Amino acid sequence: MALTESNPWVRWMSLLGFVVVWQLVASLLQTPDLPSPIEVLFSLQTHLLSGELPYQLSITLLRVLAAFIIAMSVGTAIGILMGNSHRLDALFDGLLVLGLNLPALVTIILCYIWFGLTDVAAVTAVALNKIPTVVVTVREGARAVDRRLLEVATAFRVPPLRTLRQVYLPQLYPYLMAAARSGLALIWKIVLVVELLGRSNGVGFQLGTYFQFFDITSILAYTVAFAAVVMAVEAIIMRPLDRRIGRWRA
Amino acid sequence: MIGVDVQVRRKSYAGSETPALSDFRLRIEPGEFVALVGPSGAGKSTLLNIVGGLDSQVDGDVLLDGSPLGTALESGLAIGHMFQEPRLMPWLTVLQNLLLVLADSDEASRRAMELLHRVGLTEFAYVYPRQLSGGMSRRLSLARAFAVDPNMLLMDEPFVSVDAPTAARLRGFLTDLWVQKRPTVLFVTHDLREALALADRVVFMSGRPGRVVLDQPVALPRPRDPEDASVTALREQLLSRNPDLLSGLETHSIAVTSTDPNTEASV
Repeated sequence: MALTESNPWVRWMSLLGFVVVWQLVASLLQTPDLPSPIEVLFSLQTHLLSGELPYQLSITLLRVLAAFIIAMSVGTAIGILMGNSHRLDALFDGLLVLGLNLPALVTIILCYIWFGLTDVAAVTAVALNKIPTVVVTVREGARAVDRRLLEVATAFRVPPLRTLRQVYLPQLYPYLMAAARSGLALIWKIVLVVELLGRSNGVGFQLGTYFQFFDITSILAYTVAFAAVVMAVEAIIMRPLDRRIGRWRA
Repeated sequence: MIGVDVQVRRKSYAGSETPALSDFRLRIEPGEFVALVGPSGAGKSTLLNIVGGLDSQVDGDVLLDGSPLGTALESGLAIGHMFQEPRLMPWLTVLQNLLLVLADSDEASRRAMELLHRVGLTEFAYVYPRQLSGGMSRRLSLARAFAVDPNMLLMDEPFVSVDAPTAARLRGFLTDLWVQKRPTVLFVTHDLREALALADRVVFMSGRPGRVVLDQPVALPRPRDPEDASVTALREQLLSRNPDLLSGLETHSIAVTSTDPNTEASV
């Protein structure tokens, strides 16, 4: 079997190896601090059947989705503006650097204090953490847009909406995809922290509860479920989208 | 076809003391094919951008059939452009690249397919531009310029940096498409043979700031080829009467062939 990029098995081999090593170490150590993959699998089954895990996971997913949409749309708009105007770029650059380096915890605490322990505060805090990185990536893309191709649209008087869809945005797609990928990764992580700190449901809250009981098996069961969702998103949405957008390069 | 009057009193760029164009006047009759020849930096591309409405930061006027450019374009007059590079959208197929500049309709698709047929690209309608050779990309760019059914065509050294046989084929396609409806053409080139082979009139420009130094009608019968004896004779005659005519040009053409990465592109 050739170890090529296109071979779907290669992707799974490292994961499989990881599980095997985990199982070996767990059976060697025999400690409640490291349950074996099989124990975790049974725990996952219990949590799934009780309905608790699907409920908490769906709550978290909704928060992720809301924060993602807000961060991507606001970040893309600001990124395009900054990439196209030196004046706006200079004006917002200081704020951008601040936003990039502000610890997530600070934004989260401030949002909870100012807006109360609500979902609005939670989603706002997550979006605020993500927006600066979207801006940086999209700004790079907007700067790299080929003006000569835009000139073609102007010269032939192509309507603005068509110019946006067929001339401008296609040049931005690689950057938008990069922003979306790194965005999702960051948002998953921060949403859980936000839930741990100020919500009474969601995966983050649930992990906090299990932590108090030192229920490591349940923590790992939730982690596995979470990882499965992340991989599904990558396989069902991100990769097909990548292929579709990059078709002309094939 | 439309008549074009261009008057540029002054056109300068920030940071440059010498204006790009100064006291430049040109009248093109409806359906006339005018070639513009001049040294690098004479403001030829600048002039095309002004006439095409891509550059409005200028002290001057462009009149199409007597109406100001903006009004003329609003009233539905169409301008076709061909740039030095093909400037195709790499993410659109050959057909989609034509449809981009056309309205969305069945009629547009029919027209696009017909143009692809005319330039011999029918079988490439659904491939992406990166699979086309340099010559084929330019044919598509030529088809795009004609797709809008232009009243006027602006061409900025469109066949530069392709090899001689490819350029000859491209000139053939251009002539075939042009004679059908005879749009008014302003064709920039640094190749005097090409200018004499294509145009009804060749206008020579001075170095910066660009001014008209010679306006030469070409009454040779068509079809012509740059290598025809009549073209060569006219060229020799022009050069013997005006020895300095191409002084800024020879170095320019050498510079173009040695620095352009697309030099080897061919059909």
